[in-house]
Amino acid sequence: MTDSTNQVTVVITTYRDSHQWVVKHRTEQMQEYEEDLRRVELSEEDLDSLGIASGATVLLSNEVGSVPVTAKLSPGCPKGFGYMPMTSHCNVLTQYDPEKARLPNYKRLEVKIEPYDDEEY
Amino acid sequence: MSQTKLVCTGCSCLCDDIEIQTEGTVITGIHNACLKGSSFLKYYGDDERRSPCLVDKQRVELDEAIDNAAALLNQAKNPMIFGLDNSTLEAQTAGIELARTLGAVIDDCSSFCQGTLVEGIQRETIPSCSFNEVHRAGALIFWGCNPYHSHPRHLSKFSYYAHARYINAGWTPDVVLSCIDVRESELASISRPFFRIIPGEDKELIQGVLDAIRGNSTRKDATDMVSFIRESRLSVFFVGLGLTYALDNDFTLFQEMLQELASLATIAVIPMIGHPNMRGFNHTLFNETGYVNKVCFADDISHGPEYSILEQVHKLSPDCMLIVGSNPLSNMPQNLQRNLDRMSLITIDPAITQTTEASKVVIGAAVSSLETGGSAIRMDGVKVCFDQAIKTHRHNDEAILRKLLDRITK
Repeated sequence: MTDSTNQVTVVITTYRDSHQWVVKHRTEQMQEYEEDLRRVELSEEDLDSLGIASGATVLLSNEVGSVPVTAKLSPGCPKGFGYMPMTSHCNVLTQYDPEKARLPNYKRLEVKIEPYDDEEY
Repeated sequence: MSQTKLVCTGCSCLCDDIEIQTEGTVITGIHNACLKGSSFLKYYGDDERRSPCLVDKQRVELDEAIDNAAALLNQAKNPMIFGLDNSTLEAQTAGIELARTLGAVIDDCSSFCQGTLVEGIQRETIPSCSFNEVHRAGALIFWGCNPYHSHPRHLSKFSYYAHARYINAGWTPDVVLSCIDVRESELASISRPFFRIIPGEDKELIQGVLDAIRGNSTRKDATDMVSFIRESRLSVFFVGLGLTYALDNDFTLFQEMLQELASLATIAVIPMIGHPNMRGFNHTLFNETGYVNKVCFADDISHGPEYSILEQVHKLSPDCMLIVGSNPLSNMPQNLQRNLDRMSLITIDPAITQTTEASKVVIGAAVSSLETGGSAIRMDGVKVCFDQAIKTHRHNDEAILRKLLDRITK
C-alpha cells in the first residue's frame, strides 16, 4: 500500500540524452531503452522524504496526467527539483494551453511524487 | 567494397567529413561520425525500419500513394503542410510552392524551437557569426544546452576544441568556456565559470546582467559574466532549448541584454538547432514571404501565432495535414496528439514512425545526403552542399512534392 503521507512536490526539467538516439536505433535494445528512459532523477533528501531507495517506482502526477517511473538518485540534484529524459512519458505530464504559455511546459513541470506499488506498474 | 564521403544530416552541425564503407547499398563501416550520427546512418540502413508507400495501411506503388495524397489535398478546405526540417533546400522550395498552390498554412518545428532567434538573425536584430569566427572568439557561452548530448561533435569540430589558439602549454583552448544550466552537465564540468540557475531563473539572470552593465547588479554570476565578456574580443552565445523554453519563446529581454552588451564588446548568437535543415526552412520561407514560419497562403500571405502548428492542432483548424519528415505524434503533448488523431494525415518520411502509423497516406522517401544530393543551411547560417552517397530506388522529398504539385487542381 502506498502511504499517502510520503509525498513530495518537485519541479522537473526535461533534457536530451545522446544514448536515446543510439539505443532507439537498435531494435534488440528497445525494451531496455524504454525502461531506462522511464525515470526521474531526484535528490537524496527527496528520496529520503519519500521513504524509498534509488531504483524504486514512484508515481508522478499533476493536473494534466500521471505516469509511473523509476526514481534514481542524482547526487547533484537540489532538493525540490528533478530531471527526466525528454520522452513520450513527459508528454503525459504537459499540455499546450495558449492561455497559460506560448510553448508546452517541458522545463518547469510541477509534479507530485509518491511511492507506487510495483505490482500495479 | 567502396568508400564514400558524405555530409551527416543527423543534426544541424552537418559534419562534412563522414566516411562510409558500403557493399552495394549496405553500409558496412562508418568513420568520424558521433554517436548520434552513426546511429542515424545505421538506422536508415535497416530496411525493416524504412517506410513503404501505404494507403489505409495497405502497400501501394508510389504513384498510387501520390494520387491518393493529391486527392485528399484537393478536397481539403483547410490544408496544412508541416515539417520539412529534414529535407533539402530544394525540397523546401517545392514544399513552399505546394503550400502556395493549395492556399495552405505552412509551419515547421522552429515555431516551438529556435525560430524566434533565427528570425532575429535574419532581420539583423540579433547579431550572429559563422563557426569560422567562433574559432577566434574570446568567450563561448552555452546557455540552456549540453552539446555533449545534443550535438556531440560541436565542441571538437566547430567550437571549443576547434579554437584557433591554445594556451602555451598546448592542451587548453585560449578562450573562456562558460555555461548556464540547471543541471551539472558534462559541459558544466569543463566550464569555467559554470553558472547554475534554478529552472525558470533565466529571466532573472538576464535582468541581473542588464543591471551589472548599468553598474547596479546584486548578482555575482551576472557581474562575473559581464566582466569576462567585457574583456573578450568576441563573445558567442550558443542558445539551447533550455533558454527558449524558460523564456517561453519571448526573447525581448534577451535582445535588450545583447544590445547593451554590444556597447561593451562584440557579441554573436548561434542557435543550437537540432533538425539538420531547420535553419534552411527558415531562410527559404523568409526569402519567399518575409517570415521564417507560421505562414498562411489562403489569402495572399498572412503570418501570425495562429498559424503555428501548436495553435492549428489545438484548434483543430486543418482538415488535412501533409507532414514531411517529422513525427509530431511522438514529440507533442498528449492533448495535441489526440487532436492530430482526428485529422486526415499524409506523411512523407524515410522511416516508420508513430505518425506514419496513424496516417491515411504514407509515402516512403529517400534520406537527405545519404540517398539524395542537395543542400542545407548549418546552424551557423552557412550553406552546405552534398552529393548522394548511396543509390536508392526511393524518391527524394523534392521529387515527391513536385509530383504532388503536378496533381493539384486548385
